[in-house]
Amino acid sequence: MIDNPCEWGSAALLIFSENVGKLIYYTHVLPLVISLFLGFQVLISNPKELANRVLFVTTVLFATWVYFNLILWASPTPEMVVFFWSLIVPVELLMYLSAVYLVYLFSNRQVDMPTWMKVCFSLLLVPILLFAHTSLNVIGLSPDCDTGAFEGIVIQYMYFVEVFLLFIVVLFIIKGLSRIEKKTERRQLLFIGISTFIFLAFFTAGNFTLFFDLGPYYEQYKLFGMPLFAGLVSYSIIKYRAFHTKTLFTEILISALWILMFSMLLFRDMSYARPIIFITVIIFGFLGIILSRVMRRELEQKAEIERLAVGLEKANERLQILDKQKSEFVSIASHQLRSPLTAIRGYVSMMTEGSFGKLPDKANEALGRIAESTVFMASSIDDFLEVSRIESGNMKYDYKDMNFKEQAEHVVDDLRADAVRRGLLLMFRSDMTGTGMVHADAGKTQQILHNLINNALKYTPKGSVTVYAHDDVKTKKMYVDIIDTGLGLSPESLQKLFGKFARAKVASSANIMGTGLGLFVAREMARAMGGDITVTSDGEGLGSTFTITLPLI
Amino acid sequence: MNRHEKNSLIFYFFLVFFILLSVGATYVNIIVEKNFKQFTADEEEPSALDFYFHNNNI
Repeated sequence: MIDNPCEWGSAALLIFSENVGKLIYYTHVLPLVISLFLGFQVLISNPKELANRVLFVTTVLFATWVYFNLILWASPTPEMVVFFWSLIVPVELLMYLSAVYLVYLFSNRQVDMPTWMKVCFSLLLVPILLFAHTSLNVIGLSPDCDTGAFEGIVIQYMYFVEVFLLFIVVLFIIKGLSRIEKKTERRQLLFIGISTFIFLAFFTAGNFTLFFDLGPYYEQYKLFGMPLFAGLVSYSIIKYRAFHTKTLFTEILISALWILMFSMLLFRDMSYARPIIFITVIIFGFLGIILSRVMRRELEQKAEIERLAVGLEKANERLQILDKQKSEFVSIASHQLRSPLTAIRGYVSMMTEGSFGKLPDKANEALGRIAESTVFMASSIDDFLEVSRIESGNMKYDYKDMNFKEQAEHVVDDLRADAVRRGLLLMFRSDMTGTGMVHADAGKTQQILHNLINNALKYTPKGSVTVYAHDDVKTKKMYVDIIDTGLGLSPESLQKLFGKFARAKVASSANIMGTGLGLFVAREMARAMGGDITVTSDGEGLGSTFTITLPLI
Repeated sequence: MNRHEKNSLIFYFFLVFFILLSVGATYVNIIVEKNFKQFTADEEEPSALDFYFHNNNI
């Protein structure tokens, strides 16, 4: 039996002993709890994800290391000290390897490490596993109970392997950044990589304090890498959805962490550790503020998206119903309304022509009004159908080379009788440098001209309507202006005029019939043929000018 | 289970096996056999750097 110069007391759960200073418990228990909390939270949230499992293993290994280290401080027997000293070495290296594995996963888009690479990294463990039980690992027990045992060459080897693994972490980060293009994945790698580096660098730095005989208390700072690691990992979980976890637990974790860290400042017998704790508290305070802001914004955005999604679903349902109703309406318009209208027009025509015998003059007058109304009704139905075709993209255009100037002149000739009947002067003028040839659908351009000139005649109670054709060879454009001296348009009416069912205020007051679809259809047609229709007016009662533009050949 | 998963499983099996073997050996040597040196206060302490460079304490 070895002679024991130390006063070994009993220790509950191998770690709770009166011989152990409060600082030791604080520096150990806090990172232990945090690491387990983080590891379990990440694992439970998504156990199928490889990165989540690896992070869990890393945190469990860290917690095991911390527990073993506490045993060293509180252990009641010398053999327990040497035993756990020997075990802490493979646990530490395994933890490093696991952390390197984690960074590898993030540098390789979560694709697993090939087995050959795992074997190569594991070879670093061989000397430790082979000699863990020998005095090459732990030389023997120190006479000073606080420092535990003397380290052998295996432990020295491990320290240098750890430095090597730190370089590997940096290498993986650089390699990953050069390969990954997606911004979120790059940020995830940066955060996980840097936080792992900090975590391991703290550990390594703590280990190297032993080389310079700074005393055992300085070594305890190495455990502070874990809270920093937990904080940065939590941030990356929230900000970049690393590990695909929910964010709530992370916020709780970071808050608990800060409170615990801050409370350390209040301990009187920890005055020598205050500077480092103070710095950590400040870093955590800063991180905490960023986290809570990001969290709040995230939650707000999430709530907003959910609200919008519900609204969108309802709107979509309503749209579907409306679309169905619209289709039904188009069907009614084309078949149910048009067919009887044709019959009405046919019979009215037969009656006025005397097919059913001679009718009194009053009846003929009434039939004439019926005929006018049916013409208007047929034109309205045509407008509805045109709109329906435009909106469904079914409008067909038969493009040909045609003379737009001549067409405008012909339409003016056609409508002149109507103008005379209304007591108006309808004129055609032209100022052309070219031929006026355009590539368009002649039927549609005629419809546009008819529509606009008819409108001008309808909305001009007295005066004249001038159709003015001109061109601009430089811009290769042909213009037809329809200038009237009619009711004119207010600025508000000008803005809404080309909308569906839009009618100028003066139209209603002047009792002029119309669906408000003609201009919409005309402009859509002009635009589809590469042209446009614009309107200007100096105001109500001051007339207006509609300009049809089409590209010249 | 694909080839990579099979290889990984075999790898982890051997890794855990060797770790347990090492832990077992350590337990027997330290706890059962009590095969370690207890330094006394009057003995010269082998500092980590001395040990590393001179290696005369094994």
